Amino acid sequence: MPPPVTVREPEQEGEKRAVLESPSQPLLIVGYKRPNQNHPDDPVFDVIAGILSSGRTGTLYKELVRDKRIALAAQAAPTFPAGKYDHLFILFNVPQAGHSVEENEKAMDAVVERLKNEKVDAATLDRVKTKVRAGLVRQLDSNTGLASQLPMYETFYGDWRVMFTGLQDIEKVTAEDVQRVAKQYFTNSNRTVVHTVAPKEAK
Amino acid sequence: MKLAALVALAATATWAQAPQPAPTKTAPAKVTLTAPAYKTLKFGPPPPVKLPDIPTYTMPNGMRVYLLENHELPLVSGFVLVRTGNLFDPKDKIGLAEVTGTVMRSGGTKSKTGEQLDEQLENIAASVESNIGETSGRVGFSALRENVDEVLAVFQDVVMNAEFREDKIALVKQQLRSGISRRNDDAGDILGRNFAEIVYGRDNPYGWRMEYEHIDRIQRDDLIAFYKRYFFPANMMLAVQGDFKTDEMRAKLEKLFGTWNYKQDAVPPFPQVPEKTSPGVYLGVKNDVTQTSFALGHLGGILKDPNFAALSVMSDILGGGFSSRLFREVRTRQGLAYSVSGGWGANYNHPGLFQISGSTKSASTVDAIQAALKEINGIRTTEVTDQELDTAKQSVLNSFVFNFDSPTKTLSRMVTYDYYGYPKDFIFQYQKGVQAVTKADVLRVAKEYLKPEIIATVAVGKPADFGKALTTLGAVKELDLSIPDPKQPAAPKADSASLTRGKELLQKAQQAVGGADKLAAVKDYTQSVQANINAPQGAMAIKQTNQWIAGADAAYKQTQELPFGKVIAYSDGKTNWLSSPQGTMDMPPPVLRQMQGERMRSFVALLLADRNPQMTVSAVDANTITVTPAGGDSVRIDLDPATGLPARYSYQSVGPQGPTNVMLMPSDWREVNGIRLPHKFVIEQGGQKFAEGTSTWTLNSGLTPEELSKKP
Repeated sequence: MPPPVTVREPEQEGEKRAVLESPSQPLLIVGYKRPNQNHPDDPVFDVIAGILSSGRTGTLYKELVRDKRIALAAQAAPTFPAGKYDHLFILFNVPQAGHSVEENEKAMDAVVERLKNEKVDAATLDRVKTKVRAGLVRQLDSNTGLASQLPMYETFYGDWRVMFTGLQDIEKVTAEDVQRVAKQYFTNSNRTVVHTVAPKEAK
Repeated sequence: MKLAALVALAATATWAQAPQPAPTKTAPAKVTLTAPAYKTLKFGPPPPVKLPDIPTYTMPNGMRVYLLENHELPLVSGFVLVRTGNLFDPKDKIGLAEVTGTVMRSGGTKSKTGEQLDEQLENIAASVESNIGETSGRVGFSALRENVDEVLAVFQDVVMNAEFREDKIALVKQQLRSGISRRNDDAGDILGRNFAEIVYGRDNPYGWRMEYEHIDRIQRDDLIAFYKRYFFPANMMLAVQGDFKTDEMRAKLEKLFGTWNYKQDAVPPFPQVPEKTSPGVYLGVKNDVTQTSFALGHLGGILKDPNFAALSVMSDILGGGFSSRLFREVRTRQGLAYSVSGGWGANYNHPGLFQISGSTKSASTVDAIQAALKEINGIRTTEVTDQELDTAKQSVLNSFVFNFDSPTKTLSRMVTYDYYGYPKDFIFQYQKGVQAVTKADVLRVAKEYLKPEIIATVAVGKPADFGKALTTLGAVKELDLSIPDPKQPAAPKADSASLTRGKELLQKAQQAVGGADKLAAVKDYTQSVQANINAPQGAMAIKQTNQWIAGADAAYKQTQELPFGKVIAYSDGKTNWLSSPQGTMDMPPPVLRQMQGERMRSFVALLLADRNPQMTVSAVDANTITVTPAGGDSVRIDLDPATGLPARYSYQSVGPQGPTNVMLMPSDWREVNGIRLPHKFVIEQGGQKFAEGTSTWTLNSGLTPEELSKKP
């Protein structure tokens, strides 16, 4: 067994930006650094991702895809690329044809700012929690689901039971937690923004 | 806390707390190097698959019902399967089935909007979804047990009372348009789409392709007509499985659907796949990639074919997995491709595709394709080995049990077999068939079913980097990957009669507004527009000013006042710029094309087209002309037969979602400086009302190009 990794990245001191030339329609990802999955804030990130992008009631979908129609897809993922060590909370965006990356970034920023400035309402918080629980029950439906989930929890958390105890952690998340975590982690100096752009010579 | 929570928490409690005092077994205190526990697990032979009893009956209205009681988890799910599909798309409205299938749910029901359904369902972690695919439509639901009545009610509402609200139709159409604009982004997508189109042929529903013009034609009435035609009880199968008592569920369904007596004629059979072949070598040029995606093959078959079991064993040996011939030879031994796989494809009711596909670095394109062809020929000429046969058969037979690992799968399979008219035990027949396959069978079906002489080969990549020219494989046809603009009303051939007639009609229009000389006296104008734009989130009011100066190269400036600031566009043919709160830049090509159009269509210039040598005016019929500028997009003008005034301008413009057909209807003609000018207008885009508003006009206020072209 390789020894556990203990080295941690120094704190990021400013926003990082990169533009990738790619002969495709544009894509945008915004990543905020966050601690690993054993940190007490882990369930709060899960809840925030649920608020932002779960189903058709997720804020990003409602605002960017459904109402403003500036994006084909706009989603949040709490854990990218994986959770064992410190990683990223990401916002992912596919702009609609005719709408710019900048416009979409601005709209996503506004959603994130709202998390910091306003407390999420009880109905939304309740919905997200209910969906997490129902999601778990549905995962138990197939042997394949069980076979992939149990070892994952055993490997990542050292105990397969976290698959179930994790629910209680989610249950404890409050609107204040959501606001606090948003304020603490979703800052410009803590993020990396990357988008693609068509190469100059392409039409 | 909701009931859902209690159920889930109850599950948590039993799982999480009960086994706690057993750490000695799960986590040994001392780390000793013993074999891991899973190595000592013993497995007996899998028990025979037992199909659950699925009570089935037909309601008096013709709806067939399947119920599968299963108490393992506190969930209930189900679906209706509807005999419809995008194979029934009208030829000029390809995509209608897809749009209908999506908006059926997203557009809400008579009593609730789609958003209200979203909230209601997601609050209880339930779902109701609809879609229409190639040969069936489906509305499904999933619910926690305690919410099943509420969810069933929504499900019934969507099935029976879909409302197809305009805003959601517009959203799907916009997304489909965006998808079209993105369809050449990925080489794999280009390959898959073109291979199917070549093999099935583009003249029929299996191989035709959705374009902007089709989407633009699709209207709410089309969706409603499609829905009404196919969604009736006798054309549906309803299946429900999960945590319920069969009697109770039957009573619930009876109440929800039993009295629905809506009838339609029986749905005709799906169209046939035409019998034709398209052998040859096809190239899709994508110069921004370093590898080639390729596919080769021809039409496949149907599942009912008595040789299907032998074909699937043959197919597995040829290109099924890591141990297949293609993979071992082309990838592992020759190192020509990172991936290569494929085989015999079969569908329930129409031929699938026999398709081998892979990707390779540009330089080895021809080598990789030749290597794949060699394997196809090889399996047709000599028998496979005992070991190959055995591996292929075992892989099918050993994974057989996974066809039954969830009750949902079992129920779906049963309904699907009924839907396509297959026997209930089809999968067991298949299992027996595979067991009986011999090496001679494999050779026989490979010879009979694989036909190298009709193979179509498609390569998508950068031909300049192909090591050997693709022509090594035969004459190459290049694929047209262009994305056509929406079709415009065809401009008639401008013969001398139509030219003369066109001029007469235009002059009639000039008379109607006050005469050509008065128009010619207009040196500049300022048109101030107040418009309401129909945006899905509600109407949006905008102010726009259009300024125009006459001349061989007319100067034209548009100033839009938007919530976030002013956007100004200026064009005089030589100088073109665009300014927004973010700064000023050269006009991007789509905006430029739009601006050139606007310049050309400016009210005065268009009416004086007969005096401009750059413009051609011709008659379409007694009251319609087209005006075409040299090298530009033409405008069609319908004149009011009574007054001679322009009643409708039709042209193509580049909107945010690509090119679209626009119609502008002017009205409220009032005199300004002796010229009748329209003070109201309505604009339609892609067949939907887009904006309406009012204009006020100021003529000859002494605008100068210097002043107009000044950047802010």
